[in-house]
Amino acid sequence: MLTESGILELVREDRRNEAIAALLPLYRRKVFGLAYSYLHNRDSAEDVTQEVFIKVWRALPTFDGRASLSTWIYAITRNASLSALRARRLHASLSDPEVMAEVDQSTDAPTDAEVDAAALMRMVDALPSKQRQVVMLFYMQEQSHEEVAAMLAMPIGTVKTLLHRARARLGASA
Amino acid sequence: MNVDEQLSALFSGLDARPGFNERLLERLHQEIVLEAQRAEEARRQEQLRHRVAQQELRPWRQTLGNWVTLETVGIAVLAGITVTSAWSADQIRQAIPYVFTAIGIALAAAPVIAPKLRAARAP
Repeated sequence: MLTESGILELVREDRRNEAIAALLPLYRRKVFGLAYSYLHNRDSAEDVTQEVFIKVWRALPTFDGRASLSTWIYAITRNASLSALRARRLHASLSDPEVMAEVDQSTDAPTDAEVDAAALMRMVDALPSKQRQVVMLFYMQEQSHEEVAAMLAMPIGTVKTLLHRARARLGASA
Repeated sequence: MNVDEQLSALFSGLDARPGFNERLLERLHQEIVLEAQRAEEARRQEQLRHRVAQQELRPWRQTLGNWVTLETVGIAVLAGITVTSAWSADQIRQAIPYVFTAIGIALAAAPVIAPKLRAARAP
């Protein structure tokens, strides 16, 4: 797997398509997760993820390397997500049919675990937006405070505080 | 299962649908084609603008000079020979004022007609 400098080398050699192909496995899930944490809808998050990679492809030749590639991509994702949010005026709901379908699986009668998962989803949904974003990204990104802080452009301390408060709320609700 | 484990189970598998990479690469391919078309169109427009600007800058005398080619001189000589052999000297002398008037009118009209001809020829 290519490193950031390897990807930038590809861009310098005007091999943007290869650079994007190398970026995809590194950032697809992170970009999708970040977009999803804003939009709460799988289709919209996928649209934004595609937009982000197209924008990255277009802007790669102008990337000056002052910030890291990940910081740059996360900034593009946040801006694209906020634009999509403003444009579509989505209701913030984690009860996305796709996610609920994953939770429900295919059995007619949900198991206790599935009922618990759906209930937990509703509890997360009821959290304040920043806490909800931090919870979702923290458990999606292999529980890395640093990664979540980079994705949301927040200090690590703020991420830890938001996570602590969210856990406390979820624990109290459970 | 505690809350941590439940949240991990809920969000750790969250990802775009299968086939996302292929869909994106297909869209990128379309973007590449569109970008090439836009670049080609911009290049064509620039060439056209450059040609028009060049033509507008060129003085009409130069355009007139372009008309004086071997062919036009040849045609004029042939016309002269035809006229001198067909008409008598008196007839030619009588026609001279009209010929000079016609040449004068043609020269006076050239600056007006030449740009219109150029515009009509431009793609």
